[in-house]
Amino acid sequence: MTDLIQQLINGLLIGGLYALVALGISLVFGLTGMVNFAHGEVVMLGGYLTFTLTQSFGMPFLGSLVGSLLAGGLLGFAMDRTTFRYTRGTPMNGLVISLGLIMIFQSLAMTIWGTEPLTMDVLFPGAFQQWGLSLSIQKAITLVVTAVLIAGFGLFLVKSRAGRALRALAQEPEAAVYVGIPVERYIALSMVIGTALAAAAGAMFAALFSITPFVGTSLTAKGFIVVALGGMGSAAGTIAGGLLLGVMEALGAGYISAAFTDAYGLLLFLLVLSFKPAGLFGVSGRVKL
Amino acid sequence: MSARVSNLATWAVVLALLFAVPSVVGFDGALINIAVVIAINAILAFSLGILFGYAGQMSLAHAAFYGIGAYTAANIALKWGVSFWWCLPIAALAAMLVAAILSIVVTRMEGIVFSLGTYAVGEMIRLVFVNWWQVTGGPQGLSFQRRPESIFGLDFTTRGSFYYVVAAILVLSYLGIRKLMKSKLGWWFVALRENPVLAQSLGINVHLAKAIVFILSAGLAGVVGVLYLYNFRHISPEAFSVWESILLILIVMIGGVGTMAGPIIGAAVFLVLPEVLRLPPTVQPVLIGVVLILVVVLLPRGVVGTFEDWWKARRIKGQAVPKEAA
Repeated sequence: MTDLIQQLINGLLIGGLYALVALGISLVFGLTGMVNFAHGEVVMLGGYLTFTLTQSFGMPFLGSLVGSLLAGGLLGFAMDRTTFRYTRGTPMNGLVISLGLIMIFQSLAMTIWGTEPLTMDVLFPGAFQQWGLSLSIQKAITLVVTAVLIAGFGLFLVKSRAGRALRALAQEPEAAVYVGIPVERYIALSMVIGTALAAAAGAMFAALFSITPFVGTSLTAKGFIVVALGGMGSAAGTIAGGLLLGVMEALGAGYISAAFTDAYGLLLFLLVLSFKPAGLFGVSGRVKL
Repeated sequence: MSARVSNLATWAVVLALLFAVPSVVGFDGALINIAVVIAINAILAFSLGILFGYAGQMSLAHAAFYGIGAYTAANIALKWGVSFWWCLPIAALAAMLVAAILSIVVTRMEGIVFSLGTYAVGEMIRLVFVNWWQVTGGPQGLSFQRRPESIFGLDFTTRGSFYYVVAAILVLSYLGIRKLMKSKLGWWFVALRENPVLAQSLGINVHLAKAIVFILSAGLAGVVGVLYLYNFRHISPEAFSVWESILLILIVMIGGVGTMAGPIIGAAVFLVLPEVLRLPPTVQPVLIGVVLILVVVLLPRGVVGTFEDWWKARRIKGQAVPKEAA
């Protein structure tokens, strides 16, 4: 029982990070119909930036996390303005561009940080011990930061004027234009928010696991699985999908053989896409393409 | 000169040029190798061109089918001594069989979702290549030392003669695809790309058309897998990953989506440019990425497509002027 609870906690931890990564993919897909394969590369770059800021410049972890978050947002803005905005009418071209961006970002990371996996020094030694369960302080911080970011994003989406505009755009793009919502500006904003959250997730990934220039693509794949599970373009579904995938993976790694771990997620993804395209929690109806 | 005669003349010139390549660049050495690799990639780009260019389905699993062809050929040749010439159709059938099974799932998807689904398919097949080491040799892959057997008294063991095999398959697949695209089935494929809903309302079985084009393109990719195996004599999972599929999409897009000559031009540009520029290995992917982005933003119809547009615009202009004057 203790073991199960321990696995659940680990699953929620990873799942929360998956959700942070997937929110950006889902948000941009909901507004533009474009799938950004380079999204995971922002996670990777955020992780490396945090690594450099803490290890080489001695910044506190939370400081470098915020630094990565801001840099990630900036990168998202740059990507959108220099490339993606030319592909609004043709989401497929946006996808192809994002494939080109992956090559650029990976080479950049290889040139700066090399191809060997980098592991950060333990920033917060020690762990909470209670009822036979253990939670390292680093993991506790990750859980809290993830929760704060997700809650903050939720509040922004529900309460703020910009958040309402984003939801209006995702629901009825034409009607949103009629009531005077500047579409381009909000698409750029969604890209900025998405990449900022992804870079923050990268910062926490780097502190928990080792990081290589190639982690981005597998994280993008996880993001797709999460978005497909939760229903494309649905924020609440994405968060639930992230937690579900994290818990499933943790239980799978704990209780089932791990040779084809990645394949299980992909298979689930394929089946959901073809038989339940609105996502497991999605409302009935076709995906907007 | 009538259109038919000029067509025949063009063909004669192209065939003569293809035939003359080894005499010009030498029957052995680096240059003939590049020619073989360009031709192999051009056939591969043809096979993706049917699916992506004509039917508008952007598959990220294409390299996986080419891998299935290569691994099938390697196994039947090493275990049972099957000859090169029999490997070609058998590898095609193997790739088509896997594609037929997968088409049950992927034909339910459209547009971007199709790309995502085939991404998952490509990744899963790569994982099989990595983990099924009894058949695939695992991450290290398989080494392969056989050469094509001589047939009709012709010897195919030298580089130059292998070039002729690849060039012949290139010409045959070009003719086959051109014939296919002029048939009713070809029109189905284009209808699938242009407007699936309208196509369905015209009585076209969209699912069936998508399944057929998916299976056909996988079959041709399987043939190329055999050529790849006999050319490089080593196969490993990384050569058939989603990344290879992405590079193929780039080749098709550089040449021009939905054009016949596009894949050849794309493969030539894509493979000759790095040889000419000789960039360090970390810079090369950056260049590829930048070229990909520039092509999408500036030349969405590719080199051949842009040229066609320019040519048509010129001709229309030439015809319109006298009409206005009259």
